[in-house]
Formats: sequence, structure tokens, C-alpha cells
Amino acid sequence: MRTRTTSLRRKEEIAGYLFILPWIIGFAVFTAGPIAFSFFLSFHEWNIFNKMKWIGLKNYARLFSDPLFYQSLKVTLEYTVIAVPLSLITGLALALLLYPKVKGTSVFRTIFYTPSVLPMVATATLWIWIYNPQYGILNYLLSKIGIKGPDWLYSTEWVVPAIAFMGVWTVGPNMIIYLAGLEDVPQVYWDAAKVDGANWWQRFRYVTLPLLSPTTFFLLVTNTIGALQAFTQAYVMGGGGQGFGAPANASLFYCLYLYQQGWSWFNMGYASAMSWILTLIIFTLTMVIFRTSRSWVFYERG
Amino acid sequence: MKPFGRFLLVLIIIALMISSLAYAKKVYIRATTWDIAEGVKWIKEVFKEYEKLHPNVVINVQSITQGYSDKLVTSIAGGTPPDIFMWWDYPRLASLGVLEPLENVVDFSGVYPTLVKWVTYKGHIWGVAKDWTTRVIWYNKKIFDKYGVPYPKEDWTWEDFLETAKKLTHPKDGVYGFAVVPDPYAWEAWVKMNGGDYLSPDAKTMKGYLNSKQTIEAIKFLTDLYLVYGVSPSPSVREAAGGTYAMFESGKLAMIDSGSWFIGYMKARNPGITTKELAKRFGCTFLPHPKGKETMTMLHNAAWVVPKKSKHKDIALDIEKFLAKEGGRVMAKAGWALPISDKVAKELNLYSDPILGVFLRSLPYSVKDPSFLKREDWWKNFSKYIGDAFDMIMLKKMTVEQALNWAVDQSEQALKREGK
Amino acid sequence: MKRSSIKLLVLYIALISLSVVFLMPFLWMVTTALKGSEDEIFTYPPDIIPKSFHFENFKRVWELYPWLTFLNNTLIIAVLSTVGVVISSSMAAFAFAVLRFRGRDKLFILVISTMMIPYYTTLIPQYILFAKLGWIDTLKPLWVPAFFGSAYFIFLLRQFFKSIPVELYEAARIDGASIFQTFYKIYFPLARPAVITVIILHFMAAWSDFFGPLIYLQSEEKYTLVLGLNSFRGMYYTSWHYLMAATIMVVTPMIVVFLIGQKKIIGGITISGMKS
Repeated sequence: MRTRTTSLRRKEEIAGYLFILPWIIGFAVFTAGPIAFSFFLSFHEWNIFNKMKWIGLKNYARLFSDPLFYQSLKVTLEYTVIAVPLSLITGLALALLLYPKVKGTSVFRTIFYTPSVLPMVATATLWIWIYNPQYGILNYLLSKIGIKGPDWLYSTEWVVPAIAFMGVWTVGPNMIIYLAGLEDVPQVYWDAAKVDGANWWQRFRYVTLPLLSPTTFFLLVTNTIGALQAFTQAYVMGGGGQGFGAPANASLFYCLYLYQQGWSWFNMGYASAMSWILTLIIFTLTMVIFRTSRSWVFYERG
Repeated sequence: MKPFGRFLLVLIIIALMISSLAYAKKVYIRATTWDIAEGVKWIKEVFKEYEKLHPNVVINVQSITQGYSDKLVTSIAGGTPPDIFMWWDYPRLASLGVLEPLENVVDFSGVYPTLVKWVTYKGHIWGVAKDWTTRVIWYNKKIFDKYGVPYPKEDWTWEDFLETAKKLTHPKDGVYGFAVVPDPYAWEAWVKMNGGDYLSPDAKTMKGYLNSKQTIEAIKFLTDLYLVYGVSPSPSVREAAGGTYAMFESGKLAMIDSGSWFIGYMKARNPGITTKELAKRFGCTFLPHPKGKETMTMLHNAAWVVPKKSKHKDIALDIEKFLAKEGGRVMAKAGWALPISDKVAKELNLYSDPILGVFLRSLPYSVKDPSFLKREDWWKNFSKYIGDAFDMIMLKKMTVEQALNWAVDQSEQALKREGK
Repeated sequence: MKRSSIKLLVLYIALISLSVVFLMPFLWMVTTALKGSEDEIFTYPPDIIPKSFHFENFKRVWELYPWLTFLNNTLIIAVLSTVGVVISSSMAAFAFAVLRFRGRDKLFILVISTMMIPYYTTLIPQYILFAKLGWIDTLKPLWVPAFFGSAYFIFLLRQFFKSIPVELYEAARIDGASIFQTFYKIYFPLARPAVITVIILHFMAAWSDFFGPLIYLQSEEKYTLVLGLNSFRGMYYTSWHYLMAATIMVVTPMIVVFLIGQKKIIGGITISGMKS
């Protein structure tokens, strides 16, 4: 009997490696090299076209005395803190609205998804209009309730929140992933809760949310990574698209600054050091989420 | 026939066959540009002239508008650059040893000396200008007529300019005199004609130059137009109007500081419009100058450059030779771009053109020693600090003096940090 | 009225009013695409209905580029890479979620870590790698890597596989099913909503990718739809009505794919039947 289990375990072990073999090959061939290269680069001065020069930890030392590094970090963290909860909550809310199988659900799902398939330029232009302090619909609506809206994209205080709010329109992927999560939940659970006399909120809080926790966990991790790497939004929107980090570096997102250092100024070594600091930050945050997940993510519904 | 004669004949026939085969074998040249639509069409026309002279060469033009430099930089780094491409920031690429110097191959004698000077860096010439523009003041004649303001002269002072802008500003009608758009590159002309500068002559520092009395005065003049005199629309008002050009064209903005791009903008919207027709609605003139001083302007020039790793470098260099000799005739004749050779300009009688003539005459007033050519390795940083300072002024977070001093401080610290 | 129908009414009101908000960008694109000139496009407040309808904008856009070639290239990339991603990612996800092998969790952290490094810093070495393989100006860099899995989708599918009770696996194994059969016959169909989601999300991402094709493709006959689309955006001047007409042509197939695809998410074989 013992030998049988060990041979079964052995088979499982071998199968495990075989199943992830494609990924391992791909990693070795396409990913590992470039990643190692960029790590190696972060200890060099390199302007892309000439020989690298070893400078040890100098890039990192420079980074920690660069005020724009701190500025870009601050901007990105502020964005992440607003954008991630916002897009998770909106995604879940839309998914819950679209879950009941009433007539026309699939049309509504598609409608809610359309902004997510449009190129960023198209939606950005519209947002720039919405945010326009003189003629935009947002400040018009605010004025109706007696609030004088700010200059949004032209204001150092509001540009980051404004860019983060844009995300509610393109929450389609979160919505569809939550929908898949809901589809995966057996109807019996809700029925059982109903029979037990649970009201709407109780059913949501004690049945739906825990059952969706693996999905929430996935979205929390990936959206956090995405937000900390945000680039296009800032590139298109800052100061109404007036340039890098406009106005006055208030929308200088981390990856925007990284891009500027590496691709506009050809300081690729410095940019690599920046990207490894970001990777370290993301890694730490992800590990924190992973650790805490044990207390709030429930996988098996046995 | 002797055997030897027969052998020679066979040899000649074989040689002829091989050479004709070689002749028939096409060489494909890759050229990249950021131009689109009609711009690409005229580039293709120019290259067609070259292909006529060299039937074995086919030049494929690739138009990339978004991510142009990303794509160029990766392809150069990966060893697969185009054979010839359009570029603007030559000092940066040239100093990194990526480009092929042209002075020994191309005859630049026919090209405007200013244009050659602006592509010369570290003693080498790096490109043949595709086209160029100086910065001028464009004005909308309809607005001037409406408020009974005389059109500006070519020789006008900052005071004249301010007075004109004030008279043209009518917030009730939503009409503004002039659009203030902070831009370190464009404003260098204004700073320099007031005797100021961004950088020291050795380009080592901005201290004492960016925060000099003359520079502060010039920047104050420009930003006051918006902050004090209110003759300029805010960025959000411009944006709501669909951008500066749209606002200018639609009669809500009387004057703009811009280049010949506005001609292209109008042509894209009114296919076939000529500069003479354009001049009925719009005029352009030199930038105003401080009293008792001479006007200056900034030049923008895009040039064709050849990367060292071009697969067909000999042909690419030959194309450069051809472009310099052609002098921009094809595009100028079509009314699409300014020629790069004075001979062509005179031949086409462009000096008498009400609009193109202004650009041609202002070319010699281009700033003599532009900052971006002074120090390529650090100019991007300098201009970022200058731009940030302009933002601070326009947002009323700092006065002109505070902002420029702050920029100098930032840059001094950064220079020290980097040990430069 | 019955309570349930009041509920239904509230639901519909919510859905319809939200639809207005979410349809706005698309409607704006359609009206812009039909407008005649910039003056009409940039008016405040924007006109919802154009003064006159310029359907010829679509014709003009259609004539400017070989769109069918672009479509063909886009389809090759999108279909091949979707097939690749689904097969390779679901296999890896199954292993990470269900199978027990040494170093599993550490390897999984490594998978997630590959998502953390900003794209722009590995782009040049990646380009050099593809250049060495001779893949520049071919479609290969855009679909071949998909056959080696995507960290994002491996993670997504792992979450779904992990939700399937492990007893199911044990039972199948005791019944004599091989590990591959368990994966293919039980786990894959059970995770159908997730698999369909992966197909939709990846297909759309591949379809609308701009940066990859921009960097790796050179000749026009290799272009994708999105590259063709971006030719309407100039550095100094953009013809908004053409750009929007082209955008509609490019995104409409995606919307149709979504409409069909999301229906398949519903009505997968649910676990409930087996468990209750």
C-alpha cells in the first residue's frame, strides 16, 4: 500500500513538472534573459548605443537623492490607493447587476464592456471634455448642486484623482472576471442561505463575498501591479495631454519618469535601477497580500 | 576566329549577362518618417525622382506617428535600423555614435547655411534637412478688421505687441489676443533677443543665466500676458476650442506663435489651398523684439539621417547627396514645404509669397547658438527644469524670479549629484 | 405589482441608466465618424447628432489602406496566440492548483514575479533576442511566446482550479483516470467560465495590441488593424473623423466577439450538480 502511494505521488510530481514545462521553457528562452539583463544593467551606466560602464550601486544612490524619484513614487502610490479599490468595487457592482439572467443581460454586458475595447485616445479625448473646467459636464453638474469644481487636469491637487476616476469606465475586464467567478458559485449556496432566512446584505456578506474571495484576491494582486505600472493614462491625460507629468510634475507617474529617463534621455542604467526598485515594492506588496490571503481567501467549497 | 578571341567573346557575354542581372536585381531601401497622409505622399514623390535616376532602387517609406522614437531606438539597438530616417534630435544620436557623418559625402554648398549649422554638432554634419520652419507670429485678419486694429508690421516691439494683443482681447465675445503656451525651446528666442540666456557660454551651468535680470524680464513679459493682462486664453479654454490652431482659425484667437505647421494644418482641412489664398485670411510676421534690439527666432528642422548600421549605407548616402542637390524643389513646387536651398526659393519666386516670404526672410534671424546644440548630454534635464519652472509660474505657485531661481537650484543639485 | 416585478423594474432602471453612461464613448465615436469637419467635432457642448451624415468617411478610410491584409494578420496573431495561451496557461494553472510537487509554491511566486517588472526595461534585450532569431518583421514575436503561457492567465485559472474540491481529483484518480484525463475531462470543463473569460480577454488584448506590432513589424503587408488605425493620428494633426471611422471598423468585430463569447460563460456545467 505504501509503495502504491509513493508511486502515485511520484507520478503526480513528474506530471506537475511536465504540466509547467512549457512555461519553464518559455521563461528560460524569452523572459529570463531580458530580466537578468535589466538587473545587470542597473549597476551600469548605459546609453543604449555604447558600451556599458560598471558603476556599482551609483544608480541606486542617485535615485535616493533624486527629488523626482520621490515625487513619481508619491504620485503612483496616490493613484494606486484610489484606483485599485475603485475598480474592484465598480467591477463587482456591475457584475452583481449583470448576474441575474433577465432578458437582455448579454446586451447590457456588452454595452458595459465597450469602453474597455476602445483605444485610450478615444476615451481620453472624451474625458478631457468631461473634465474641462469651463465647458465640461462634470463641473456643470457640480455647479447645479452649488459646488465650484476644480480645474481637474490642470490642477496639481486634482490631476491624479481625475486620472484614477477615469478607470471606472474601463472596468470591463474586472467585471467579466467577477462574472465568471459568480458563474462558478453553485446556486445551492444562495438557495440555502435564503432558506435560512438571510436577507440580501447577509447573503452578499456571508455567502457571495467569501465565495468570490479567490477572484478578489486575483484582481487585487493584478490590479495593484497594473496601477503601480500605470503609464498610458498619465501619458495621455496629464495637463490635458500637455506633456510629461504636466502640470509641474503633478502627474509624473513612476513609469512615466522611468520611460523618460530610459527612452527620452537614454539613461537606461538609471531606468533599470528604477524598475528594480518598483519591482521590489510590488513584490513586497504582493507578498503582504499573499500572507494575509490565508485569513480571507477561501478556496475549497467542500 | 582564334580560340582566344572566342574565349574573350564568351567572357564578355557572360560579364554582360551578370551585370544586367545585377542591374535588374532591385535594392530595397527602408525609409521612416513621422509624417502622415499628404506629408508621406510628398516624401514618396521626392523619392520617386531618385528612383527614376536609379531604376534598381526601390525606396519603401514607412510612416510611424505614435511611438516613433521608441521604435527607432529599439531597432537601432537591435541592429535592424531603417536605411535612412527622419530625425530632429541629432546631437543626442550623433554624440552616441549612431549616425553617419555626411560632410565628406554630401555637397552642402546649395543648402541654407543656417540649416547646415543647425545640424552640425561636434564638427560634423549629420543630416540633410527635409524641411524647416522658423517661429513667427500668425494673425487672423478677420479679428483685426473686426476691432479695427491695424495688421502688425514686420518690425515691431514688445510694447506694440502687448498693445495689439490688448486691443484684440474681448472676453465678452470669447476673443483673445494671443495664446501663451510655455515651451522652453520656443521661448529661447524671446529670452535671447532680450539679452538673456538659459545656459552659460560653456554650457556648464544655468546659474547667473536662467536667473539673470534679462531672462527674468523676458519670461515675465510672456507670462504676464496671461497672468496680468489676461490677453491669453487658459489651457482649458484652448482645449475646449479643439486646440490652439482650431481656436485661431475659428476667429477666437487673434495671434499665435507658431511655425509653418499651420499651413499643413490648413491644407489638411482644405485640400489644395495655396498660401496666396491662405494669406487672404491669415498673415504672419516676425516675432516682436524689445525696444532697440533686434528680433530673433527659433528654427525647427527635421532632417534625413543615415544610421551607421544601415544595410545599404552607400545607397542611403547617395540619397542624402541627391536630397541636398534637389534642395527641396519637389515639395516646394507643390507648395508643401519650404525649400532648403536659396536657389530653389528664388527660382520659384517664393520671396514674394505673402506667407512663405516671411519664413524665408526670418531664417537669418535664427538664434545663433541654440542651447540644445551646446550641451546634448544635459539639455534634456535643463529643459525639464525650465519647463517645470514655467508651469509653476503659470499655476501662480511661484513668481518668475522664484521659479527661475528654483530651477537653477534644482539643476545645480542634479549636476552635483551626477558629478557633471 | 408583485415584489419580484418591482425588483425587476429597479434592476432595469439601473441597467438602462448605466448603459447611457457606458455607451457614451462609443456613441461619441460614431457621431464623430459621421461628421464633416473639425468645426463640427469641436463644438461645446458637443453635438450628438451631426449636421449632415458623411458616410463617405468610411469609404475614404476603407480605400486608404489594405484593411483585409491587416485583418488577416490580426486574425493570425489573435487566433494563434489565444490557442497557445489557453492550452499552456491552463496546464500550468492546473499543476499549480492541484498537483503536489516540490518547489511548487516558489515556482508560482516566480510566475507572478514576471508580471512585476516594467515592460519598458526588458524591451531592448527582448528585441535583440527576437532579432537574433530572425523574427523581426514577422508575426512570430506576437504569437509564439503565447504558447509558453502567460503569468496573468496562469494566475487567473489557478484561482478557479483551486476552487474545485480536491476530492474530485482524488476520486477520479482512484477510478483509474490518468492525471492528464483528470485535467482534460474534469477540470477543464468545470472551469469553463474562467476558460471562456481567458479566451475573450486574451483575444481582445491581442487584437488591440499597439506597442508589440509597432516595435516588431516593418513592412505594411505585415501590419495589423491597430497599426493601420494609428496612421490616422499625426504628431501635429489628427483627422478625428477618419480616425474614429477607422476605430469603429476595428473595434466592432471585438464587440461582436464579446457578445457571442460572454454568452458561453453562462451555462457551463456547474459544480453544484455534482456536489449537492
